[in-house]
Amino acid sequence: MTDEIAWIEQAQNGSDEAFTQLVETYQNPVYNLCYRMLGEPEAAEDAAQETFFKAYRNLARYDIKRSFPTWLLSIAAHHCIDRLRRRKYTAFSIDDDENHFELPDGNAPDPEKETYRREVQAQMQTLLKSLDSTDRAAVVLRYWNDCSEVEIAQALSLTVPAVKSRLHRARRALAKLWEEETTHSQVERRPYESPAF
Amino acid sequence: MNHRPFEDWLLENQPLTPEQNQELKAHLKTCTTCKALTEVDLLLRSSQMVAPRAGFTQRFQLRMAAEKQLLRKRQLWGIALLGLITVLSIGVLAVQLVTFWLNSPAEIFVTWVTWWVTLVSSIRTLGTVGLVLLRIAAGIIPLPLWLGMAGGSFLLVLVWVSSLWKLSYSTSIRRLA
Repeated sequence: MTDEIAWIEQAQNGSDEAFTQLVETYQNPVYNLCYRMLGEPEAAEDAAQETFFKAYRNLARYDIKRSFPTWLLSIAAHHCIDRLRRRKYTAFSIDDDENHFELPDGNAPDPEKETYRREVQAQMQTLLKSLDSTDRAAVVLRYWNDCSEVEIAQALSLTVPAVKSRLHRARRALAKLWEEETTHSQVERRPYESPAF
Repeated sequence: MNHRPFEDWLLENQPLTPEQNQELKAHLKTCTTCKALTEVDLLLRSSQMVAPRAGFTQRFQLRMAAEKQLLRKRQLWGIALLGLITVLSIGVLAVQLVTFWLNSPAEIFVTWVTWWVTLVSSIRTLGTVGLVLLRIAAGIIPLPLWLGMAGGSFLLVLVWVSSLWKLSYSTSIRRLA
């Protein structure tokens, strides 16, 4: 924490090395947020890089009393929401990555476990994709970044009750979709069985 | 007990008493909605963070260097453009001054008065034309239509001002974030 404050102060005074330290420290949460929001590694990389660059340019305006990761995640979330909104209005969308898949890592200690993990990740992405961009950001901040409702409200420029209601709505929507998917896959997996009356 | 309190417990993540826990477990056996809610919550909690490809920081440094170079180039172009504008302005001013000193005071006075007379007469002509057109329109267009048009214009201005205010407000909030 003291290191972080020192790096921020040095970066505010023009030290690129100090800012690089901050990038090194926060690359994972920022990239993960962008990946969960955009659902594509290339787009996530670009959005994460852009987030850090925006933070670098606006570092003089950062208030040291505020949490730095929350400020950074706020920039990332707004950037991704804007991107998703723009995608909505373009005829050709790079979001249509249905054919994008990852091959299981054969060198992983337990390939079966690795395949299962990837399956779960893919399911997770499909579920998240069904949410509205702001709801998606709220869910990612809550579950992956362990942000409190107050921090989410600050990051997304919302009120705390609005965050609460968005999280509830998102979880209900995800549960509904999950319920439908599991019922559907159970029916698909037993084609030889007679339907239950 | 009906479904609602169980859903609230799950959504609020409230700490439950052992009795409430038992009740919830029993409810989950029969309610598919609450079961799905619990499963999704577990799925979300067990999901891992995705890390970028190795060398993210190095790629950022390269990008930062490229952006800085671009910024420097832009600054140089800006300075060059500003210099050109300054030189041109000084040139125009110098030509004006030279012309001014070469002419006699009487000629300068006549030019000045002519310019003002032309300006004032143009404004007056435009005013007269406007008034004539307004009188013609007043005769043709009935009063309720006039009132409707005035009301509509007022509404349009109101919508324009409020959307401008909203836009500037949301931009300032985003800038602060």
